[in-house]
Amino acid sequence: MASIRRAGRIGLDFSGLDEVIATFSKIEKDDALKKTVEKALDASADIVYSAIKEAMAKATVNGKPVNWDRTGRTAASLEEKYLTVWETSTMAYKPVGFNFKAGGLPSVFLMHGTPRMKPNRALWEAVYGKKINEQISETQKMIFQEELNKILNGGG
Amino acid sequence: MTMYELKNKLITTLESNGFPCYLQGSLLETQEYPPKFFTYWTNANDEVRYDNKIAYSDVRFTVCFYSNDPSTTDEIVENKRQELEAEGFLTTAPLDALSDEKTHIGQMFVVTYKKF
Repeated sequence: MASIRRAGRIGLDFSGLDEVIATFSKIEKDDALKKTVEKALDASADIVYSAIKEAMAKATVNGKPVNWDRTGRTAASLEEKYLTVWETSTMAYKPVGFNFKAGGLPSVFLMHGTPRMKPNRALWEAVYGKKINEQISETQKMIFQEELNKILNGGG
Repeated sequence: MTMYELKNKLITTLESNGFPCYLQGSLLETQEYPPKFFTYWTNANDEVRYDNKIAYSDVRFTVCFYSNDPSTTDEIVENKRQELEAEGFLTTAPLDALSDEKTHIGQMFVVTYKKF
């Protein structure tokens, strides 16, 4: 499950993904697959954003809570309105995280620390951690199964 | 190899040129930066088997190099990455790292070791 997230983006990755996509392709029901992929990626991004926000709320620098309102630029750069990017007709990813061009670079420094400031482990876990990856995988699988059931049982 | 041995191997390799190595964030506010030094920070992801025992751990060390001499920084970091690779670690390409001191620049790379 290591490839689910890399450098600021979330893709689809769960056991049985290929089979589910193949089933969707056979059904050929309008754009059911496209909508399901987008729904799964949106839900995945929500998980990452809530983990990042939780880490930000708890973040400290040298024992003092981080004042995210001092300039407000880093907190404001946490971009949540990225669009899904389609690589092929069935594969897509969604950019997530801080927008470096809009002042999000300090988030990297906070995550990795400096010689006088300890790295923020919670932020690292939110971006690279295995626990969040597993949660994302489970959510994606559940959404695909739900949508497939709706179509197959005529509920969609 | 235990985590203790793994960290020792990393630190020994980082310190082989005589530059000290510290835990990231461990320098005091009042402590001066040495001219050149490394820092490291450990993260790890465990892969668990069906019986809930750990099959292997991906141990990721974030290594930073800080220097007051930008002209030699690239070369030192590149040589260090090669030394680490020869010791069985995997390394990523270096990125800029934030320094608390304007006199120093920093470069950061991730060193990975798959521990069974």
